[in-house]
Amino acid sequence: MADLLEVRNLTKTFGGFTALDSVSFALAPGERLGLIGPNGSGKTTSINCISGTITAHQGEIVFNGRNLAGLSAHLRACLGIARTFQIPRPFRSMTILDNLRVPLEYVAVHRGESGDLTARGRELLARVGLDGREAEISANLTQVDLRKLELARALAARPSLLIVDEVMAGLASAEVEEILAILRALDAENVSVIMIEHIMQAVMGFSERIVCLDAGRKIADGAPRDVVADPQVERAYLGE
Amino acid sequence: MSREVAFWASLAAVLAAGLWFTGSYDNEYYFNFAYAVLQGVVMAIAWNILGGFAGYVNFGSAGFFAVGAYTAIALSKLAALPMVVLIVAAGLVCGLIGLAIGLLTLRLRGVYFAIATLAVAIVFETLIDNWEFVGGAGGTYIIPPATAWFFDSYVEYLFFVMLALAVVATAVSRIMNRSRLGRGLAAIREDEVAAECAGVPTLQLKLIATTAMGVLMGFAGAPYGFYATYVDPVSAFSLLIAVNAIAMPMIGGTEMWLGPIIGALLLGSAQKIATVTISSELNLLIVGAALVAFITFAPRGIVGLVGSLWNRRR
Amino acid sequence: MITAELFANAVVSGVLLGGFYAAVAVGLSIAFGQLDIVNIAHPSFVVAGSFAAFALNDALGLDPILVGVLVAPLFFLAGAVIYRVYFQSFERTGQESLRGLVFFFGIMFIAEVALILSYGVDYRLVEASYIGGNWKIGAVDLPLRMLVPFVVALSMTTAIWLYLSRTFTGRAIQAVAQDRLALQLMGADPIRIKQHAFGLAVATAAIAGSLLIIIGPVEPSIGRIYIGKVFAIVVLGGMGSISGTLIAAFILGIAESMVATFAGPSWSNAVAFGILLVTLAVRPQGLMGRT
Repeated sequence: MADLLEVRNLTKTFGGFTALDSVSFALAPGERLGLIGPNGSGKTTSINCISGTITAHQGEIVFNGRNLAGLSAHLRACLGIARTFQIPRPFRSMTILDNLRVPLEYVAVHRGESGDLTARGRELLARVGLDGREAEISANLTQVDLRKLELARALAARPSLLIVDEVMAGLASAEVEEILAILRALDAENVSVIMIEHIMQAVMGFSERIVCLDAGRKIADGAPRDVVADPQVERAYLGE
Repeated sequence: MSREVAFWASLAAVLAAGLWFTGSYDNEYYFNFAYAVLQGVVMAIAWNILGGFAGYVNFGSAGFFAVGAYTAIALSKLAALPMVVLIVAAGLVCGLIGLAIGLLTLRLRGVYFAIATLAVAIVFETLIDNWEFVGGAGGTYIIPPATAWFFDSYVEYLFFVMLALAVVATAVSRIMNRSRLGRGLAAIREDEVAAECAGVPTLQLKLIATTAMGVLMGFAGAPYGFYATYVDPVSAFSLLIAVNAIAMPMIGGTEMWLGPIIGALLLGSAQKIATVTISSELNLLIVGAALVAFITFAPRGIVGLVGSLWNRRR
Repeated sequence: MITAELFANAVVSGVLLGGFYAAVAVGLSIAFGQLDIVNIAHPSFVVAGSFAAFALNDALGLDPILVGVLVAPLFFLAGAVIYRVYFQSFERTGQESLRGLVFFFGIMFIAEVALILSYGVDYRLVEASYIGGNWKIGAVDLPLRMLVPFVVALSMTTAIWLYLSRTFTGRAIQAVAQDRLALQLMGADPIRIKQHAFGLAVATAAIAGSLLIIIGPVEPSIGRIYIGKVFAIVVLGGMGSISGTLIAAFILGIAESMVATFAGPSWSNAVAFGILLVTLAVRPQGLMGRT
């Protein structure tokens, strides 16, 4: 079976600083990949490149057999890539439901999907546990609710690849479980997930495979058990 | 009665009322006054489509207005064309300018767009300063006909034209605000990066908003020559027009289609009344101070203030 | 007719003008380049500086550049206060882009109208011993009213550049643009640093203003023409680069001088905007900016 996503030799510099140095990895359809590494190792930069928020200097990103070079972020969203942001970025002045209406109206309509968008929005809210709160203004939500809204907004685009960037950071363990449950349920829809996370238990439990970055380079790629035991990974986190 | 029907009925009622006024009253001063206020309404609505809905600031509103005015003047010097043709032509020219500026700068950060609007306004002012056909820096006179259509005086006709333009602008603005396009623009305003990742074609929507803004400002400027009868670059590219185009929506409230109208009616009337008693410089100062005060302390404008008072009472 | 003499004079005139432009633009280069504050009111502050020079020169006979230096601390304070208001109202809430722009537009407006109300719309000028004097090198004229500001402008720009690259506060200012968190970890308060930087930017306006009124007469709305020039320089030079600002200032000065000499002075104001639009279209990060 062909890979859903192939990242080849991705390189990105910011001025004199190399954020990504020839990073390559692949993702199969429905696979759950954990992306770990110390702060500044290039995790968010790599997903910014995949989602189209920034452009890499070298390398290729191939999604569903299609080279994404030059494709703007909104077109990638329409192709099936969705992401959340490390710090939630809701459309603050809009209600919770309207936040979902945006991807529903743009991605779904672009794909020619029809159906009652409001009903779909409500269904998504129920899925993440925000049902009944659709008229609330999103600026006033708590952290955990903002994360849920981020997730719902990403899922509204019916992605085949969902990237979650530290979506559980700073949450209590019960809340972490809530989010994990939502993500696990995506198995049923064969959605691939890339999870960037520092909460090791969550990543270990969730991922089928883990990629570890350090200072812009990939230093490990394999089964969670193996990666965690890798001395290079240990060194990256704990230092020499 | 549903809100939709109520809205369209109100617009029709406003037009009917306007007609009634022209039939019942003769004092030219009132129609002069109303024209000026309505011109402000159209400019404010136009500015808000890009500034309030999408969050991109246009500092060169006077440029669009003046180009609209001078397009109409230039065409009318070539042939005696009906006002509708002049208005449409002005709208087209200004719409294209808006589109051009957008294509040039909207891929960059919002601040570059704002600076470019300022630049374009000054470039056009310099060009028109040197364009002898429309009088150059010395200005030009326009002699309007004595009457038009069935109105008793030309001023009454101009008033009605501007009223109709205000109605059109209101309709366009409300349709944009409450549609899929409006939600896309709001998403761009709130967080453009997140909007892109949510599938919003940000560049396309920004270009649509910029073009719409240009067209409406061109509309507002087209009859100006006939209203003022003497036009020169300084008065057409006036800083007051540029500031009011920003102050009126910001004071009225930028997120909804109604805000600019409220801001323009209040601020426009206040200024017209005040310039009788105070100097035009002091007027400018007060508008500037009001703008800074509102934007610092009441950024959501009057509509926002009323909205939060309302919510608190519930 | 294009003679070598005319050409040489146009170039030299442009260089002198360019040096002065650098002094006007350096304040915006700090505000916009390092602090990401789009201070569209900066030229108004420069004009305010011109009027300060006029007022004290007229009343007390003080040399305008001296006035500029004396008044600079006041401008520094004003800048600090304005930054505080800006920070409290906009930066803190993350609303800076739209509202910050409009805020400074309002300030620009208020400054200009306040000047009109105080001094009227007439052109004002200053008197100093060197205004009117002229040096000649071969066929090239070096009018002192341009040469003296040129020297002062370059000195000030160099001083700013040294300050930013050699002192602790200066480097903190450059750092705060790039990594606020690292700065906090180093024990410096980013907000105070930014306040300091903005105050410095406005203080340069005091001196630049005194130079402006030496070069030629000034009236309150002249600032608006300078908005284009100043932004053209900062954008062409590249965000946050003082050396870029200097190079761009010279390019603009020479271009304007050439256009004024060979096409007529009424077109020279459009040169800046033309450069700005072309830069935005072709290389928006400017000459020294990075992608």
